[in-house]
Amino acid sequence: MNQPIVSVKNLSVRFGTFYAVKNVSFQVDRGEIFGFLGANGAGKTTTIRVLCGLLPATEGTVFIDNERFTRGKENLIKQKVGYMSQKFTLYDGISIAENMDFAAALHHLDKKRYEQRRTELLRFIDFREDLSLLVRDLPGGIKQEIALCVSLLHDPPIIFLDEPTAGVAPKARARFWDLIRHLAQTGKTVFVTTHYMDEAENCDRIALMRAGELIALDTPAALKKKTFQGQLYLITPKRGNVPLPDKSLFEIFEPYGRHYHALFKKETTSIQKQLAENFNITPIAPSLEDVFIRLVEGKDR
Amino acid sequence: MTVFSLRRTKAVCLKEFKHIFRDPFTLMMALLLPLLIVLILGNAIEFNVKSIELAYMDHDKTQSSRKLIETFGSSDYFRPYHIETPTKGQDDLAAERAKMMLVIPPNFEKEMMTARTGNVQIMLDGADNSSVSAIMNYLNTVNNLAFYKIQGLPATDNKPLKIKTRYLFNPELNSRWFAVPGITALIVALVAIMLTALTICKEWEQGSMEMLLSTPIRATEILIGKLLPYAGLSFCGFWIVFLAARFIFNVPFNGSYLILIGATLLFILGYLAMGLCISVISHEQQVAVQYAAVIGLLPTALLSGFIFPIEYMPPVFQGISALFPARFYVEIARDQFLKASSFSDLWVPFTALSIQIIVLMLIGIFKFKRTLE
Repeated sequence: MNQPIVSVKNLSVRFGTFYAVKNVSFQVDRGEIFGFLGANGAGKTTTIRVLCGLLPATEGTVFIDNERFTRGKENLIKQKVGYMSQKFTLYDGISIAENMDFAAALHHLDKKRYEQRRTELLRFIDFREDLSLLVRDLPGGIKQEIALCVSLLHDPPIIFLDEPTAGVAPKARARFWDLIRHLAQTGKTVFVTTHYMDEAENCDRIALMRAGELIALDTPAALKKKTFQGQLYLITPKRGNVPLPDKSLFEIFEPYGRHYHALFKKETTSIQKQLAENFNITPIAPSLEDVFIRLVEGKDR
Repeated sequence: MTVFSLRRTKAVCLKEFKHIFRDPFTLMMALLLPLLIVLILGNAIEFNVKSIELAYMDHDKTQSSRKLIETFGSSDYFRPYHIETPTKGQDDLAAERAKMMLVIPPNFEKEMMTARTGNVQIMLDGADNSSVSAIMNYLNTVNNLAFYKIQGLPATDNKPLKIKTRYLFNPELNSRWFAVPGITALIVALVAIMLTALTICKEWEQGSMEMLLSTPIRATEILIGKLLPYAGLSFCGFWIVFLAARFIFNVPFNGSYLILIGATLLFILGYLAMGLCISVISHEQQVAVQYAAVIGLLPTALLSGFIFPIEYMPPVFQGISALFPARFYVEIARDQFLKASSFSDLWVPFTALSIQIIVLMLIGIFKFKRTLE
């Protein structure tokens, strides 16, 4: 039977009296792209830090690749995970090669294995530039790709990416997600947090965190289906000075630029006809952003 | 599983060296700053006051009064100039154009010839305390010399008790000889504490510490790997100051290199540990600089005996000064430059320094490891 690579049961992390993560349980399957979403302060990074051995859990159990996290076993677990943090990727003041040499030494890779992995990974990201380039001279996208290689040098079965594409140009973001998909195809498990909902669509499953608690966990399609039982509409004012419709008619009425995404409480043709005088009303499929707003932000309000 | 990995420690150390050699600020701070400070302080610090501007009013205008003024002028220490009114003298004192005013009253010569004693008035700028004490010392000498000149006596032979003073270890009482060992402590402390605090805070600030800790590296390996290069840099800073002292300021070195180097290495370790503690407390470079200045550098400058003698401090401050390694290091360094005492004479400051270093290192390592874990 295919054991999950990550198994978290009743995980809580408490700082004083404040629970950053509260009673969270989930499993991540091997080869899966697992998205971990939530607003700022929802507990995403804290959870990742526990799973990478950077922070002890206050309560609960964590298994990584069949190994239970206990005190003294941190280094064993750390060999099994790759981590790309949100804040830091590579040392700017040294070259690409020096960053890779450094990471290889930290993981005690022998020279032959290191050179083999380096060649494989640079081929994987299709990097053909000079490795003696200083990291500070690289564009943001390339830097993230090299950082991905560095975190994969020791060939971990699972990699944790904490907002890996934050601040990266859209084209480079798309390329980075291609790499993530390829990684998953080669059997690596990718555990990723992101603020970009279009990126989250690439995940096999998504966990939604809110105020330290897990509030939803499913595939993107299932989440959309569960969250929106009725039809979602795109409502666009026909003119600039149109008064907003009565919000009590809607279960959801969220502004998106000059449009609104709306879910009627009670869908009737008469209401739609009435609104049609001032608004264009088009049925649309819900996006993950709609799901996020409904589940995370909606509850916060 | 390895308890301590030399390979990982070496990797951190190498990475740090590469950062240092590609970062002009760190290099400048470690190598150029010590040289600049020693040149500036070495030239600026002068406890021997010379060329004191002396405003005088001579109401007597006799041969004796002229001889008195001449005696002041013939030394290197005073530059007498004539003023017409007491108000002008007071203005000059207030505006710091003069440090001292001499008023010779009428009948000065008459008194000298009849009573063999004369009264003159001296007014000093009491706001400048450091000059006053030096001037008072010179006045004693001038007083004796002037007496013999006015009386027309030879200056030496007729004293009942002849005191011949010889200044050991620093015959000319050269301020630089006295100050440079203290400057060494200040500079080594500056480089060691600042660079250590900054480099570790930088790892916290940019988030790379978290990345490091997601690998199997241990806190001790990070610590040794990061501190070694800065210990080396601080030691280079010490040699820069030492060579500048020897060859630019001609400060003699009479002691043992082994003792001085031993004390310097202990002192560097102490300030690296202080830098480490600061980085753990502050986590931010900007805050670390402020802590380093207040906790590390101010006591080094003020409570080490570098400027103010420890013996003359109130007992409370003497006690506080004993908390800082600089006090004992300055004592050893000054001794080795000028006096050359043996290790057996210096065991007290050496023991105190060693105990401080062990305590500081333990606190630093404990706090650092605890923060990481």
